[in-house]
Amino acid sequence: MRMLLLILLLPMTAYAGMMSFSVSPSIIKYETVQGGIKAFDLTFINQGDNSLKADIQIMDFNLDKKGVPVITNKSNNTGQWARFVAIDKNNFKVGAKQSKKIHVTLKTPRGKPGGGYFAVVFNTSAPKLKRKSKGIQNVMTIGGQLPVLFIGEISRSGKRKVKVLKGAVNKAPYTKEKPFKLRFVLKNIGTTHVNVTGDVLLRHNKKVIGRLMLESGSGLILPQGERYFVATWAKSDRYANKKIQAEARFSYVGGRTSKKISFKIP
Amino acid sequence: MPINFKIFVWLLCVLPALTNASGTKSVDMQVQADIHASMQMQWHRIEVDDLHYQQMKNKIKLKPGWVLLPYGLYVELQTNDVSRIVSLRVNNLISTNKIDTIATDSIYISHNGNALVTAKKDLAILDPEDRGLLKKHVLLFVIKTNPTQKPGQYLANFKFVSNTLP
Repeated sequence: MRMLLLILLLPMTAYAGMMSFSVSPSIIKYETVQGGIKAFDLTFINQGDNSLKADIQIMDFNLDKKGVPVITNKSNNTGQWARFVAIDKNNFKVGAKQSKKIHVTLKTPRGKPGGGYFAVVFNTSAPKLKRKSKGIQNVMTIGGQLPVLFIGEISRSGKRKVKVLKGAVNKAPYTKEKPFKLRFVLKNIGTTHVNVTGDVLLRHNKKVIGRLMLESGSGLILPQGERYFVATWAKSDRYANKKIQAEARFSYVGGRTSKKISFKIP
Repeated sequence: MPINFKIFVWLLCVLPALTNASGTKSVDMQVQADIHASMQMQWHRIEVDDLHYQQMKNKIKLKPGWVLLPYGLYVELQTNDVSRIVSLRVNNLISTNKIDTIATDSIYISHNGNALVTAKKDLAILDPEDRGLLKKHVLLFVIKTNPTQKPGQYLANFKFVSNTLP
């Protein structure tokens, strides 16, 4: 097989750098009305000692099952409002210890009840240095990306509904490093976002032997999204070879749901 | 420490004294401090002769046809935000003549000498538990070569993606 040669020739100075920046606020939750115009100001702050270049994009955003935002290109997907958003500047340079404001305007769509989501994404990089030589420049580039998440809803128009897709326990053996865990997957089948909290009741021979909190950060689930809820049971070894029933109970504004599973700890 | 927080502390100390000095008997005061979430990162390229490179290289098991790039990244990251997660994103390598590419399917990352992971997905390098800590990362890159790839000089583009967990 042919060996691949990668030769990168730039001087070392091009390969070192530092960035320190923030955007405030980082999450915006709001309510709006159909056809209404909402305006937001975002402040980009360069706290570093060098100037920064920022390119700004309006993008879709979703959450993965662990609640981590997934930023994707603008689309026509239901619940994604990036295409209804405008910003007053698409890029700018900010000097050291300086800040810059950008203005975001949302024209709330009509006929799309429920929640609407988008992200304003700041892609930052150090401004390119002007060099006299016409040789290859920036063979390696490093940048930062910081999205501001917009979580909106047309007031009183969304349907809140969540169902439990499945519940399971992790595989044995269980140790301190790998304790016994119960995991439930919830799906939002409504038209707006919900914040879900949950716990799980453990029973043996119809007697309650424990109550565990189900953890999932803020528990936010966007419409059609799924999210893991996990509980760790440290005392599982006390019930080895016994049949346990677990009832997971979830609640959110406007509803509740539950799921029962049974298992035997080896 | 953010400037706003300093102003808040300063106001907290100075305002009661000022109001007493003005002769008023009492004052209702509400002070609101706004501390921005921020991310700070510092990096430099490490070469083959760098100690970090050598230490991490020794932990990587390479198979025939795999090429360890002769450079890596040394990164220091810090955030003050409990709900922030930082990931490394690697884009396709693009030849300097902009004709050939090496897709992320063939690129793998070793994070602090750990087993190779694909560059197709963002690699989480800073979790909410790391809040306030200065985390140091050594990132090395491996290319699983195949006959369709062409030798030459390539541009690499790395991005540190900082996400707030909503």
